[in-house]
Amino acid sequence: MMSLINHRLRLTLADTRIVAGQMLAFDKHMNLVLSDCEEFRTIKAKSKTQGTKNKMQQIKRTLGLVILRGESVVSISVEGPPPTPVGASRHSKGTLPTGPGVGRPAGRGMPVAPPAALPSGLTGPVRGMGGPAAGIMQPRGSAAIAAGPISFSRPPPMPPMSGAYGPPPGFHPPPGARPPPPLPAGMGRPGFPSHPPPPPPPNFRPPYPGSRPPQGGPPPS
Amino acid sequence: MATTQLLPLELIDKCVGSRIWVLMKSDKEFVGTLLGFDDFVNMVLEDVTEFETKGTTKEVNKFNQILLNGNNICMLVPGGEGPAI
Repeated sequence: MMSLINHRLRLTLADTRIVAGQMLAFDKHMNLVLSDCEEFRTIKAKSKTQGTKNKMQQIKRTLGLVILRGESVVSISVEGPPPTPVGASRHSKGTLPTGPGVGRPAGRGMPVAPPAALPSGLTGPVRGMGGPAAGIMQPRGSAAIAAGPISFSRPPPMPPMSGAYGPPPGFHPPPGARPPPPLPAGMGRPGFPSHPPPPPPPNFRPPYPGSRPPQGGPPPS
Repeated sequence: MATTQLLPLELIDKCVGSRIWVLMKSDKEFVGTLLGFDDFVNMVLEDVTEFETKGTTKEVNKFNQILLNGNNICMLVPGGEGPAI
């Protein structure tokens, strides 16, 4: 009987009446509560046009909500499953069924953390007072999980090198890699005849000591 | 489930004081104000109209107050206004 609850039933009664309705409740006497109940009576009605010949006539009445005495129930058959509007109304109070969508905060570089949590995390312990409180050391679980990992986009590609040589912009040669300063003019190495150096190419500016070698690219910004 | 559903007798109890349509096992029907009932669903009704269908003819009787034997009751319709005449 419990599995039949909310089903639409068709019941035959002791006086051959048939009632159909959705069973809302029952008890130990098989008293029933039926909703949207309809009653069908098949009676022998004398047709006046056909003389004495009896004609079966079915009378249908709509009763609505009915309490049916269990004593008069002869048989029960299932007419149909629970009507869907009833099932839908039963679920309307609860939550909707979960869909495929997921809600996530859209962090833009800063984790979504409550502002009140920031001062406690930023102010360190008093100097010499040991570590911070246990609560501070705990990971900010909800905020950190809610924010999710911060994803950075790819860095912009390097600008193309201008010229065929030279280090990329921002490149600093390590110490010791500087070119040796040129010898002063007129000073030859010992044992070598002193020759004047070959003329520099045009636009050549001799580096002075302590300067960096000329760089090929544009100056780093 | 069992705690939320209203048992048949509890529903009758909610009908006390209001109009109710009683269908008997026979072709008799009563409409009246339910004053009370007992475990056998014997009922006391007030301002009662009795409808009896005899074939194609219908009889209507009125009573001020009746005690109805629950042994012959078939169906109860809360708030019912009786059969359309």
